[in-house]
Amino acid sequence: MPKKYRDIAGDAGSDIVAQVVEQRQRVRSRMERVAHTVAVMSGKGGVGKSMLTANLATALAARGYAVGALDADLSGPCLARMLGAQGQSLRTGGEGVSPAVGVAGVKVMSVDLLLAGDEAPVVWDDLHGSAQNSSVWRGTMDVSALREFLSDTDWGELEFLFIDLPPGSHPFPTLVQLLPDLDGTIVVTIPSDISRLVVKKSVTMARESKTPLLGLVENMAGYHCLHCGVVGELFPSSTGGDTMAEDLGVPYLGQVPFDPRLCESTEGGLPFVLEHGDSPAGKALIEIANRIEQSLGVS
Amino acid sequence: MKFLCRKCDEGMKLVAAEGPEEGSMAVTFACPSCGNEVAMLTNPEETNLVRALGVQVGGRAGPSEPMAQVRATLSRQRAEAFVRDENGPIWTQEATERLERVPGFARDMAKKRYEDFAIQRGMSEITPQVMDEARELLGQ
Repeated sequence: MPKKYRDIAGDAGSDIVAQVVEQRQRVRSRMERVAHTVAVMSGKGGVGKSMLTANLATALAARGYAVGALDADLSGPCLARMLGAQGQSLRTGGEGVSPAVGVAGVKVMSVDLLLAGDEAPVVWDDLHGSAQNSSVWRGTMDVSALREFLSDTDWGELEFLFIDLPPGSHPFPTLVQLLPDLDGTIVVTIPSDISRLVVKKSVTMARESKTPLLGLVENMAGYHCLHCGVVGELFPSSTGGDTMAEDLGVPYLGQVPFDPRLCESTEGGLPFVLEHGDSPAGKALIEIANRIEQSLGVS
Repeated sequence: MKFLCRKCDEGMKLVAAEGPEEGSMAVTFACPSCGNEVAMLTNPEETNLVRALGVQVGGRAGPSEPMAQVRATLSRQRAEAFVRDENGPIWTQEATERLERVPGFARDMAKKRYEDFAIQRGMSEITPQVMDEARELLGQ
């Protein structure tokens, strides 16, 4: 019987396995200086995941914590802009690539910092231009880019590193493969039935990865009228996010009402919690940050 | 992937990795017993898959540069996205005192922007004049 794959010791000199192991070790080494890694994921897109990430990171940084924010959404990167760090250069030195610095000192890494303009999508050039349209090439490069952002950014000592994932549940296993010791995941939804339906898949994915689920956040839970100050319903027929969390067996971190000023602050690069911390939405975001601190045993 | 010499029932060893040339790599394995050689020739897709993994067949001569893959393959990069700087420009006492007047929540970010401005212009020192130039140009 001729030898099989496992009968042949070593990797025949290709060194590929050793290099892959070294890549993973590089991520692990970098994350040793990060006390808590927190993924922020959603089911559907457009639920305010990035806004939430930017504001939670800022709220915690404003308390004096060292906080980082990694924009893992390569198709729609926006964290650098939301945190006021757009356009900064990334310095390369002996310790790696220094991240951009946003409001409240939040360290930011996003592919948006590397692109030539708002109209430039993420496209990976191959050697001969033949693979740009290959899904295998694009998919593998996306994972490699995320790995390099994790391992080669000189985050320094951080108490929290938030990772803003692309919409949907499918990117999550990739992150867990790179960060098997992920400290927690926040799942974001809005009160629409479709969003709640889809977010169940994300909860299942997070649960099956055997990484801690910090809890559910319901964004756009009501509308804060700036004229009368009342928080009214935005999705009148929906049940509460707390009920949904209970049904899913997931901790409920809280709900954030929609405030029209969220868009303005988000697009202006000054996180809402800094400018409008006393508003219903601001208070809700700060309270969610409190719960994250408590959930992770920090304070 | 491993190669087996069927004649000798021995695992073959890597002897050379050449290319890529016109998108193809030639990776040669030899049997340690009989010396027979086999060359695996990759097509551009296969070559790019190896490249996308961030590995080199046969090993690297030394550690890779930070974000080597992203920097080598990301199309439409901003010219000033990456700057080489080990220590950063020096802040004069006057510039430091002026920076201290920036509100706390924005100070680190402002410091980074002034340093970026100085590095991009080859300035090794940040003075109040440099800060004025930066403010005028960047509208801060």
